[in-house]
Amino acid sequence: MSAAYYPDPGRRPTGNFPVHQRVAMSFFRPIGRWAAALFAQIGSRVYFLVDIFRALPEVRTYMPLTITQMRKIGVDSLPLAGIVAAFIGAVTAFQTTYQLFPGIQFSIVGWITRQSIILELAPLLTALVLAGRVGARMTAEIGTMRVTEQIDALETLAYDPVAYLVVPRAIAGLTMMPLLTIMAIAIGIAAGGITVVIATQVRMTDYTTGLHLTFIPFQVYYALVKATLFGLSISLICSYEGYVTETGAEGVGRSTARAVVISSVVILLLDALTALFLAPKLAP
Amino acid sequence: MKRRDEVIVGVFVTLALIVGVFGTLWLARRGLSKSYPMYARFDWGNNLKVGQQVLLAGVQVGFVDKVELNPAGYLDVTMSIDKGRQIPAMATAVVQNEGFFGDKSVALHPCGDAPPPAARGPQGAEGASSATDMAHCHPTSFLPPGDTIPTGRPAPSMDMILSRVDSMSGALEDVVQTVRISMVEKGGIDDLRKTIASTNALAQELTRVAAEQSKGLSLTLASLRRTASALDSASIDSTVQNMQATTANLAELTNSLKSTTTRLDNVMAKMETGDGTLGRLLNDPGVYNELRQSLARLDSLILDVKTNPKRYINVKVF
Repeated sequence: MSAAYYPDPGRRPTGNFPVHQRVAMSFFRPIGRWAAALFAQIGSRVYFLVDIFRALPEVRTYMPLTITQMRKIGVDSLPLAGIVAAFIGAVTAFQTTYQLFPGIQFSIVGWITRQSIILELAPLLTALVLAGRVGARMTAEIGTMRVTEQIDALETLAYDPVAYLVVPRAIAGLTMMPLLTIMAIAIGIAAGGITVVIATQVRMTDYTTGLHLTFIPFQVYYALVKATLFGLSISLICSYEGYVTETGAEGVGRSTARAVVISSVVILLLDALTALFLAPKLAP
Repeated sequence: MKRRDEVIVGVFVTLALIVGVFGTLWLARRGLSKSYPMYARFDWGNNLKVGQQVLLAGVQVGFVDKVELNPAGYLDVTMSIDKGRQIPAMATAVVQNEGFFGDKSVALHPCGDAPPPAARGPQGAEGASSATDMAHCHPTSFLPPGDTIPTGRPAPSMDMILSRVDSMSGALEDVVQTVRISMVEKGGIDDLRKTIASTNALAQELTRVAAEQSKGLSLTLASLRRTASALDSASIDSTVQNMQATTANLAELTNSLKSTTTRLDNVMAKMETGDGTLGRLLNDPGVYNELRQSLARLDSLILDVKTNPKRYINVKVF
């Protein structure tokens, strides 16, 4: 009789319970399932992370692949990141010039452009663009391998699929993203300077004076911290979504879309969090 | 393929690292140029920031490297001065406004508080302008690296200017109030209006008088012009010629008069010396006596004729 007092909802149909208990169960059961699914997602990702850490000692497996991934993720993305950075730099500087009201020194243009590009635009926009270019590709590659059971084949061949597929991408994302961000910052600032000098009455000396104003190297570290976090999150999220792909070509498409959406949102969240924690240290 | 990837990745990583390191250095220190620290101490609230320019006589010689808050009421400022630039020993440091909206820079006046004479020549040439200014106060000694530059009299800050403007606007308000009281409340504005009206009337009267006067004046001028035109220049000419002739005649007359006078003088002289009949008559008493005797005889003759006319006059008619 004790079962009546301590019902086990998993084992007995709802109809066996009294009405007042049925109402409560029909209310709480979806919530419980939703929560279980949420924690299952989190747990699955934690398992994935644990697999990655477990795979880290297998340097021989992932090291040769890492170079290839570095080229695919980093070097091949340079043109896109450069174009994005050049345009944001040029547009930021140009727009700032027209926000000045009479009496403000022109060096502010360089200052605002530098602050915007280093602190926010170059890391964030590079990461968002790369989430599309690199992340989607990553998810589609790994997802297709999962769907066509190549990952199972790797396991059969006693290769650790995480070490073989995920770790090189994670390391490549982690290392290449800051470097791409540095290039983006340099290209953006240079493009901004060239734009204002050609298109407005701001002179190069004004612009460079503004570039030096209140600069502390921590601003660059801040950008690099952001870029590292962004690169890592792109790699991990997109690899994971590919790794858990299910059921055919449609599953690959779904995973890819999910990967891009999730990594974009996570990038924005991380951006906000780094700003929250690190921005107070930016004060000169 | 793999080797190629390694090369490409290696090149990219190296390039990015170089750009990152040198870019950061350039932004923070303006490149790898050597510099040495100098120190200065300013009052609180000078709005100094890292990276602002340090100007020696208007030429940038460095930048603000560090600003530290000293609880004793100062800002301890570390400046990074380019190697090769020296700070004169008399120099003073002042935080000055750069532009209108609170941007600052540290200005080093090479001659101390006395502002250097206006730099001659264009400001563009950096070395030249600095040399000109320095030549005026002849700095012979320079501060050693790491020394503290004394603080000069600060330029008026925006706050001071604003407070000045504030007090000025207060005074202006007082003035406006006073004017309002005396003009509006005490009826001064009516008086003013009346004054203006009567001045207006006076001006109109003056205008009228002036118009009449100018009319008369123009009439006078016209008649004068007529008279002037009536005076024929030809007749004036002849008149002048006549006058010249007359003058010539007069001169001749004067000459003849002069000769006459000379002659008369001679006559008179002769008369005085007794020459000639008249002279003798005047100067010789004998002549006079004879003339008297003759007259007396003539007199007696005439008496005799009167008494005895028949003796002398015989009138015979046939």
